[in-house]
Amino acid sequence: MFDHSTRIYQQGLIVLDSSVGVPELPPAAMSAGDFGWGFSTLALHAPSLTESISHGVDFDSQVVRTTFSSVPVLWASELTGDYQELGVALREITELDDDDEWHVDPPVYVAAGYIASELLRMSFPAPRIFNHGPKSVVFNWSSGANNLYLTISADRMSALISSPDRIERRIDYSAKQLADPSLALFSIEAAYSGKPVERVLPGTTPDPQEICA
Amino acid sequence: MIEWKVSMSRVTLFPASPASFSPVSGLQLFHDVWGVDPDNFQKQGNPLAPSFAQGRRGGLMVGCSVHPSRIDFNFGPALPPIQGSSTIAVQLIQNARQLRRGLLEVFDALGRDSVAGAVARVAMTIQVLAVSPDFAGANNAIMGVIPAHYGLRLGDEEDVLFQVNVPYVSQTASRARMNAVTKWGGARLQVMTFTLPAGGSITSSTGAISEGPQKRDFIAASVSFEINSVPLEAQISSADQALLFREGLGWVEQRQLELGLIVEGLRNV
Repeated sequence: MFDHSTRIYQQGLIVLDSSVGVPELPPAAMSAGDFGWGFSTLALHAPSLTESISHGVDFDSQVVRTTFSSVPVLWASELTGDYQELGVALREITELDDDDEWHVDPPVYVAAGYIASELLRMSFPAPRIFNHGPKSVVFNWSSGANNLYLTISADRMSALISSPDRIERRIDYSAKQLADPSLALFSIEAAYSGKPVERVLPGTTPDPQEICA
Repeated sequence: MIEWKVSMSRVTLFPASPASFSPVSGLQLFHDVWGVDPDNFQKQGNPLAPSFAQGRRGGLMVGCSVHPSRIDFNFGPALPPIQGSSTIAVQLIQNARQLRRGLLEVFDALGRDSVAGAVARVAMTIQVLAVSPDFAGANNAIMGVIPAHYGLRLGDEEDVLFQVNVPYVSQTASRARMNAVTKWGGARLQVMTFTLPAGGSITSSTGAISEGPQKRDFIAASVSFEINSVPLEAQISSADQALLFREGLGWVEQRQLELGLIVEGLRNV
């Protein structure tokens, strides 16, 4: 958004030695209704250390390895379009009258926008959204018959993973634990998908995510 | 003589948690830091988009953008009017002393008051470029500023990127662990210009389409410096934010001297 409108940067890169192959590709088209969970390679345009987080019965297993990908598998334009709609929906339910059943409180709106922007940055497909009273909003993804519900209130977040038969797992995060939301979101992704998820630990901070109004 | 100049700089704050984030508008932030009206302001059109304010400060274009999960202060060169494709060039900050002063203004403002609520992480980056006729020249420039002990040998390879991180522990009260990243690379730059009629419309009053984009490609050697604190559960106080940034700027100044970049004005004199 800074005044770089007259310049386009194409950053060069060097291919580092890799101990693993190219990450598994997701389905060609993904939506909240068809959540492939293989989307974390978007924007991996630079060599990076990745941390593999595997969540099985317990939450202890962590392996560090290296990987590399320079080819985006999901274009940013596809993603940001869905997130634009999510942003509009968030604003609309916040601006509703207080007594409207869909109204959410402004602090919830701030928290939901914060989490949504992190989801976008991490290339999660845009979720469905519905509310749960004025004190929280719920982001939802489904994969087959399974569902992931992310309940966001002003000061905490809860992930609930369910199958048609039962609640498979529930994970709660306090406000402090959301200081680095990517860790929470990656662990949720790993728990939901039931397989290791690669977390990029580049040592540098990301560029701001751009989304058009 | 290879001339290195600063291309851009950015100072970033990451909030401690959604609950502690007090999003102000880019307009308010611009006022808080520079005490004047910006030249341009874009309000937050979408809840997931930033609000943004920018203005000219001497030879710099400064701006601040407030995203849902981060605040950025941006510095770049103030772009001169472009007259014809022959004048298209890579614009760089000609006076790094102005940049240094601008960065210190931001640090001081952050130290005075909590502009972003509770902050858990800070980051700053400065990119330095030397425009070159080709990749061989760019690689030669890079080779001149990479420490010999890395043993890198470059010829006419394209799209080079080499990055190292030498973390340090801050001497400030937070004792934050700081990543200190140096990145060398050959950059392809494409400068495009668009001619817009008065009013900003892409069609004139007669309905004719305005002149299409003109572009020129450039090759440049690039060295980027970035310092950032690892995410903390505890928040970083306003005073420590300023100190961390000052410490980080000191690292950049020292580092660029060690590498032999010698960017005029980018050091404490």
